[in-house]
Amino acid sequence: MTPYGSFTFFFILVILLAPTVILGLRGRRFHAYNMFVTVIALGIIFASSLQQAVALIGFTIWQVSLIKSYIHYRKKRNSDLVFYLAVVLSILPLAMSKLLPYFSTITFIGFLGISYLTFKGTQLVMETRDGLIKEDLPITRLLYFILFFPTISSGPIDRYRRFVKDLDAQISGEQYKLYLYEGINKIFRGFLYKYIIGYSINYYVISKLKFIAHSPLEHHLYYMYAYSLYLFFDFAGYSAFAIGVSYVMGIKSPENFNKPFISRNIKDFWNRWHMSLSFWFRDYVYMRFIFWMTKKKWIKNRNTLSNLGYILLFLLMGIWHGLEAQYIIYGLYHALLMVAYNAFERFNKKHKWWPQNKFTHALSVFMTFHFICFGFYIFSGQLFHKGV
Amino acid sequence: MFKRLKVFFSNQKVKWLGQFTYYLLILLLLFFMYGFNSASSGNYIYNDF
Repeated sequence: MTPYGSFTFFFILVILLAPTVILGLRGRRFHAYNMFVTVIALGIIFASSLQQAVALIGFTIWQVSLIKSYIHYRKKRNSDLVFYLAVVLSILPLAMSKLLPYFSTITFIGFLGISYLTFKGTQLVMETRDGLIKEDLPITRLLYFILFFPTISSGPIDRYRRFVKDLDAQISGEQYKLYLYEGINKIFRGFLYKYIIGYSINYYVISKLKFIAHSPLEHHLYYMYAYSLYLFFDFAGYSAFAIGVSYVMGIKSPENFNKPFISRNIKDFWNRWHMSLSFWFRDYVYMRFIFWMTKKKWIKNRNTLSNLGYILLFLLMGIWHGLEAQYIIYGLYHALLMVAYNAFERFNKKHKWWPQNKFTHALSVFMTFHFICFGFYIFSGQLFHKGV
Repeated sequence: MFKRLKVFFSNQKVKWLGQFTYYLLILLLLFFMYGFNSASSGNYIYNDF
């Protein structure tokens, strides 16, 4: 069963989370019960595919063994080679699930949410390397963090230390009321975004474009705007459900969107769109690349270094979506936008060419919106389709 | 004028009524669009990644 994919799923959630709400309102601890709910919910989500259920179990054993072994090793030693090996081994199942279907008929490695579980696992290895995680992690907490069902299919990607703070927090009945209120509010927003607006855009505009558009150019233009909005309402709707259910369970999962279509520039956009993923790539790819290159002193020019970091980040992000041309070009397109914006920012700092006022602010938002929409148009694959 | 509107909208009863209407509208729209069917609004795009 797809999480948040049908009303039946929500009815099951209401039944499963009723004791959580009662315990929360009485100011009692409920995380032990929520762990039990997670097991049941995972059973329901993966019940329709034994292959996926087995892959999830195998993957979890692999990640947990790897994380525990690396923490154990890190207490005594800190070799670069072992760290790189641990990162590669952590990413290996995801890489295999993404790459193998292109070269063979093997498809049994992948399962719903493998990407997001991998991001969590790799994050733990990296934080252990940095000395942020020093003590052995209790197995129940580690499993609960990795397999936390509200965010299992598409995030948001939480951070272990933040997650554990929520687990340890003593929440009174009054405080839980606020969690519950915010959670319900987010779940309703999810219904509005996904089931009403997203569905309407897809059904009444995208699927009927051949009757609406009068020329191929019009068709592509309408598709670009409609798909961009559909992608936002679909994904922001899912995120609202995931975060809302997390709140009901007493966990404040991080936000994924912050009004991305009013971004002033491309940098601003990546601080507002799929935030948990872009922050993950910023912290664990971009920052590490910059740090590593600075340490090695291979490239001394800071701007060149920053631009190379952006190219690496967005290329990897594109490849993560898939090996199809549309995703790789989407990544390169955003890398190019970032590099161009970096150059523009430096130029403007020196020459004060672009003044700061209400008009230029509105113009920046308008232009950024169109650059973003064109990016989603590339992402959709419509650019590579023959005919209309 | 703006101040009076601000005071009006920060009133707890008005806030409650606004939220109630918002939730009710969403429920009504869901009912009109999907009825009593076990609706599926299609898969999520990002579930594929």
